Amino acid sequence: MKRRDFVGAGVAACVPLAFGDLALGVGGRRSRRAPWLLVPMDERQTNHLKAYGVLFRALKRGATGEWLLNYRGGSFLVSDDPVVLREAALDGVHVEPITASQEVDVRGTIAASNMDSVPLEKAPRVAVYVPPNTAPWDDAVTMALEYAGIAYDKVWDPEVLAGGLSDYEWLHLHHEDFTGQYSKFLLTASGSPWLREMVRVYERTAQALGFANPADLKKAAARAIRRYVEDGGFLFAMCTATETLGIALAAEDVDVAAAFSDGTPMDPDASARLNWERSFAFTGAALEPSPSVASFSDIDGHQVNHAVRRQPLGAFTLFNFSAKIDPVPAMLVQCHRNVIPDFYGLTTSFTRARLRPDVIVLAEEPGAPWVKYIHGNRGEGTWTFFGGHDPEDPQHQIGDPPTDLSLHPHSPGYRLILNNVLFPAAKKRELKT
Amino acid sequence: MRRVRSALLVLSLVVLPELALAQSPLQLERDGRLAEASGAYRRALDVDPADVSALLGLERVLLRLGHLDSLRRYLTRAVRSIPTSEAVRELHFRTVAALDGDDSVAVVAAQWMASIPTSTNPYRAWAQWLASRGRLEEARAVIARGGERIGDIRLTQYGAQLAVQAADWDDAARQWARAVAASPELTASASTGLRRIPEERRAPVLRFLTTEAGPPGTWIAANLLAAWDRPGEGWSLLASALPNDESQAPVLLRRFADAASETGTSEGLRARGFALERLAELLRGPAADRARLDAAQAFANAGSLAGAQRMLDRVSVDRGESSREAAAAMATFIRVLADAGQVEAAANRFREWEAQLAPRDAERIRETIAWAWIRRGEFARGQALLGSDSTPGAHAVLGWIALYQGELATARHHFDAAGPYARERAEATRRAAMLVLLERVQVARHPALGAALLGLEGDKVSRAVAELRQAAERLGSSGRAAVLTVAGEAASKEGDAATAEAVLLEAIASDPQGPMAPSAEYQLATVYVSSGRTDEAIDRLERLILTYPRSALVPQARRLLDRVRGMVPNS
Repeated sequence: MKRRDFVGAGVAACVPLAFGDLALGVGGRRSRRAPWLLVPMDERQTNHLKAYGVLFRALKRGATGEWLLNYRGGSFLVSDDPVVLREAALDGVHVEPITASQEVDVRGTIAASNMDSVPLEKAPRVAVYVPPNTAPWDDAVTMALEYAGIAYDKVWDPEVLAGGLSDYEWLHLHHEDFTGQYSKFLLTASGSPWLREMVRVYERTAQALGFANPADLKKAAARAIRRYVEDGGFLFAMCTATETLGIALAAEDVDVAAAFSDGTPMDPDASARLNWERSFAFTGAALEPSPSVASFSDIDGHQVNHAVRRQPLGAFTLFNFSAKIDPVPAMLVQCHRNVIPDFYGLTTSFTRARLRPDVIVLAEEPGAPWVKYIHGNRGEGTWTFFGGHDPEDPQHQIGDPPTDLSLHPHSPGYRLILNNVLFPAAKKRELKT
Repeated sequence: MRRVRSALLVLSLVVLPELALAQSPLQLERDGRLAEASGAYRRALDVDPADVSALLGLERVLLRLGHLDSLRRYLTRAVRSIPTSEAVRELHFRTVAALDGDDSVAVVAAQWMASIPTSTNPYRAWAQWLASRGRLEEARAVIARGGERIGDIRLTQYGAQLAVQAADWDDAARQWARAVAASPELTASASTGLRRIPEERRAPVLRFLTTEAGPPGTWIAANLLAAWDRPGEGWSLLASALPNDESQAPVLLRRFADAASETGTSEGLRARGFALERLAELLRGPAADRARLDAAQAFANAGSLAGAQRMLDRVSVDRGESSREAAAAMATFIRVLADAGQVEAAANRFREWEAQLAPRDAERIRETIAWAWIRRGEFARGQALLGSDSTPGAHAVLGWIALYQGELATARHHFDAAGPYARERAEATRRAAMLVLLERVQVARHPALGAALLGLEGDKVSRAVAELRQAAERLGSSGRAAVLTVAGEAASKEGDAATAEAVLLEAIASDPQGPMAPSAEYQLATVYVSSGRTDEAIDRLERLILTYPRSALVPQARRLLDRVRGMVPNS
């Protein structure tokens, strides 16, 4: 199935059904309970993040749902079911049983405004790309999935190279450095036990899978991930994974890794020799030549680890898309907040000048030369990149304790992550743009 | 008229540039008029090529304009004009390093070395430049070459820093020991650099520092041990290797005392006390007294009564005009005495010093001593000490006295009067919990309950729990549930999971729909969590959330449920 093609019949089927109810729903029937529970996602919601989990698990059990784009902060309808009510109560998620006439009102409002209803049919199978060693930083997506109670599998290079990604509809990458340079921490964090362990695991894996070094292994993994997207997968990446995946793909036959990674220094002419056609989002970037500067290229606008180039954090603004014409980007930006405080990562943002022309910008810092959140298609699949490391820990440092999301149940940044997890559940229809 | 106007025009054309020239180039730079500032600096350098401040200003402006390249010709002239100026040489190096490659940088560094052969700066600058590019080995070679040529100890310090960066811990320790031998004030820098040594590499480095590197190595090792949470061992080392030099020893002792206290442990505070005690012996007059007071404070905070007393006995302060430091140290000391059960001694000291203590300190010490009397069951002495004190803190303590005597109505009156903020937060929370208990119990007098609650303060908690169960028997369902919940919580804290489970189940059964049921359910869930009975904990928490959705405990229960299910990190 081509995942980014939404079948028009999906939404079309809902509307006549609703208006059919309207035709019947006069007089005493106004108080009849609708077969739906409304999960509002505006300020009345008591736990925005867990609401995604309640919905996801309901879909997994075979329930049906709808995503009401732009309606009360991007609310959901889900089949009225005692299990949903129980889970919502346990998770502190606010749900509203609605009457048939209220349902008609909701659908009428949606029909008359920049809103739309997207059917949610099947919970996607979720994979998170995680190395087996424990890195001293957290992964925002894993934490969001755990907190919301969304089941996922962990995959890494052996599974990816063995074609294991075809078992999943959704793949997440986080802090991985696909240039194989250990996030370029080798010189600044030398001697740290976690780094030694990382080098050992990466080198051993490369050897076991028949690669000369981790840099070659990572390039092969990047190519497998590209194939996964081209075959129809949904890719969501954050932090360094966004930038380094692009570089690794563009550098298929160019040495972009420092000597500490593959034994030879970076090709001095590497930037000029990159082929960005092979990559997802970026073009024309200049690589950072110094092995001791923990920055990869000028794709990242904030350059958090460079004393001179580092830029201060601002706030980013989500674009308001037409829900009826552009449902995919509209889904990805559903949020109860429009302006969100920025947060650092090894890759914090994406310089506008380095974006390919076909990239859809989902969020930007107005007036700044960078954007925060981008989306695009490749082959039959889609990719979404979100800069930064942890939306609720703007200055995240190596070794900081993981964020406790029970203290941030309304986090708008984490909501954007969960939009991506739910997005593949949407029923397919033909895109208009 | 026309002639006058054209004269004015000419005048303005001539005068305005002159005015611009008259403005300081620094002011132009501050105003962001960079091009004009650049012109002004250039004109200054045309007049005097050796004007270093103009050169530095031009560098700043050109950097911001992105035209650093045009600084070269001014630098060439400056170098020719004052070839032995360190500032000009450094600026020359910096510019070439920013604009050119390796070869040019090496040439400029060599010229600098040749023109000022005794200077360490060219070696340092070149090495830093290499290190910033990750070329640590080349950087270290440059410093080593400098060391061979001019033998300056400052280069040893740079070399040590580079060795740390390269994680060459053996060499780093060797070089730091040499640097500290030449300049003992570098001990702090050395220990800061070496404290990053990973755990498994520490033993050989410590061995080298303590056996092969002489006293300077021992000083470094002492500070390292303090930083690695072994301050007691650190103190033993330092005490055995203190120099006789009266100027060096105080510096080392102060540094070690600070490092030891950073651990925040009792051992660290005790080590700080010993270091300050030794420091006091090297000082005279008020400085020695201050060191002893600091030592007394450290010993008192560490719970070392003997140490604190030893220091305070030697402080020669007149109590009538005692210093603030002396009073603060004495306040800590009295509190420690009371907490350690030496109530008479604490009360005697308090009587002696009460007039000199800050009013807030005096109030808190009075409450502390009263508490100490309560713990010994000497309620009358506690009441006598507080007298007619009507502060919220005194009401709180009097409330506890009444509670433990079983005068529940009086206890309630005092707790109400104390309000929710008196004394420390933990005690205020316990007081609030007791007010809830008193509300449920609804009897004015119950000596057995009071005695059982006092029993929870001592070390026979199991007996107190049994007494609480007995005391609960003569109460109504709501009161019984409340007392049993308190008993269950106490048994749980004591680690007696079986009793806690039995008592809490009894509490729930005695009033299943009552106001204490959510609390008992929650306590029971925590008992299951700490016993590793996760499924039963989840069951209890779910039951609490679904059965008592309006209970104030629901958010707490959800949080614990998240933790038990592994949805949030354990912290």
